[in-house]
Amino acid sequence: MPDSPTPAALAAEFDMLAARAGVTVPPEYRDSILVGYADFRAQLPLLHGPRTHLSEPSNIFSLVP
Amino acid sequence: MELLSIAEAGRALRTGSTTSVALAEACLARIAATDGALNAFVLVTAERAIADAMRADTELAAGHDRGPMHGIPYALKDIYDTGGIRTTCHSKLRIDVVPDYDSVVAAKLAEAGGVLLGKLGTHEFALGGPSFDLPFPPARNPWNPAHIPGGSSSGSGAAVAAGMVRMAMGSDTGGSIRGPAAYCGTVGLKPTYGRTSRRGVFPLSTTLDHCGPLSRSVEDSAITLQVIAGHDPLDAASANMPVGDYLGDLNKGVAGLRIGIPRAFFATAPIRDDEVVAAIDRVAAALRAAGAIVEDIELPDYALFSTCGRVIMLSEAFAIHERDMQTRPRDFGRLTFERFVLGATVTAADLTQAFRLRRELTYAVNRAFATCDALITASSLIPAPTFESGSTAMSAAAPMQTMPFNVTGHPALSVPTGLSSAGLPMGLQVVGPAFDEATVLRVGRAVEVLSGWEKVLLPAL
Repeated sequence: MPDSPTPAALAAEFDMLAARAGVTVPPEYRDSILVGYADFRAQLPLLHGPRTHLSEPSNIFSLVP
Repeated sequence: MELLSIAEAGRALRTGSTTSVALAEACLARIAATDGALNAFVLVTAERAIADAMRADTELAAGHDRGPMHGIPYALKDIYDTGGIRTTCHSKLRIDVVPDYDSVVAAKLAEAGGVLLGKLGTHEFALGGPSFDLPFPPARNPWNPAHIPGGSSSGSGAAVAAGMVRMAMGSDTGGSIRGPAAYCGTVGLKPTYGRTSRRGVFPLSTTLDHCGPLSRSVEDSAITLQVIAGHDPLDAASANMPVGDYLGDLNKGVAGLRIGIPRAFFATAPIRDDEVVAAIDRVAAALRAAGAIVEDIELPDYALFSTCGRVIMLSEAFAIHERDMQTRPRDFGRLTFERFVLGATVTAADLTQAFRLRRELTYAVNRAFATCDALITASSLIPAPTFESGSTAMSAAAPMQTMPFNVTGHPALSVPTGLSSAGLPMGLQVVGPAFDEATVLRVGRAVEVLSGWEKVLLPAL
């Protein structure tokens, strides 16, 4: 998933994930949820930063030969 | 009567200058006089309170002393199971639930001779609030009822601040004890992860949930922790660690202690009130003058803690409520639904990375304690906002600074630092090494004395 999707892409992504989770979102909630989702979604790239052997000595690996 | 500390009330009970029934009746009268405007309680268990109090008076008169909570009134956030007493989580989904058994903490307080006054309002399932579409109205801030009391232990904060009770149990997953404590001008203790059993307390996020007290004073919290701490082999997170002495060093002062301030946490925060930061600096200067070595320190970026905690909390919360979110979405309050549904969007990779990051962050905070005995930082970066401000949303820019120590599990105590120019409480957090609540309480007690909060009276109601 791109780090900065367009609002339409973000809404489509949310709808897909909610549907996959089996949740039917009441239509009148959707707009405010999308505001919260955009805020939440913008935080996620922070989790996916690179880790070195110094931060996690026993679990570092690379798929690049 | 409401100004007596737990220790003072205990002495009065043992000298015969008061009775537990008198204490309970005073609390019930205060609730009757003030709670109509504050909505702290969702259920007042007056008959149970008087029965508990009469038993305590009989036992104490017979020389059967159960310890410092014996005969002392307290109340429980309405996510703590109470056998035979409704436990709703402030939710339509559990409006008729009457548990068969007490939660472990409720059982420990009962065994210690405490007097249960009732169940306190919360944000729905400890996350969704403040809201007006739930079975009970939201609690209000005793310092100004137009302002929120913080959450999710909202009733606990309001009840203690209003003098209805000296101690009320809360729960803390991202700051739900320390937030209301900061907004309401009470002490709030989140013990180390694993220090107190969560069995029988409705979970929000199983790897972040903590049980702890909100109280008028640091000593009240220390007394409570002494009663409720301990290993529970039936709580998977419970730690089999020795319970400390939380009262012995309480008044030892801070001379020689090394206290770190992770200043970047609050100095770079997008939302902050200069008065809150100035109050932290005043306390830091006072601690230094009292002999502590106070220095700024570096911790990882605050946003890492915040993101890590939010992803774990929402994922675990959604997993707990998955079935009801799928089948009864409109039975949740709107705000609750809107928060829980974000947990459905977290990918396995997001959650795995959050767990990996949590370990790194925990090690980083542990490293800080190699050179510090305690840390101080903000609890909330602003005093309590109004209900109307709408600034209660859970977002990356939220003013609460509490999540880092849910992520790492370190013990953290919110202590008042004074009143803002608008007459609203401000607070800071004291954080300590894992399982060293004694040092946290000792530093917190010094903050309580040095800030002058002991001289601040209850809000006018």
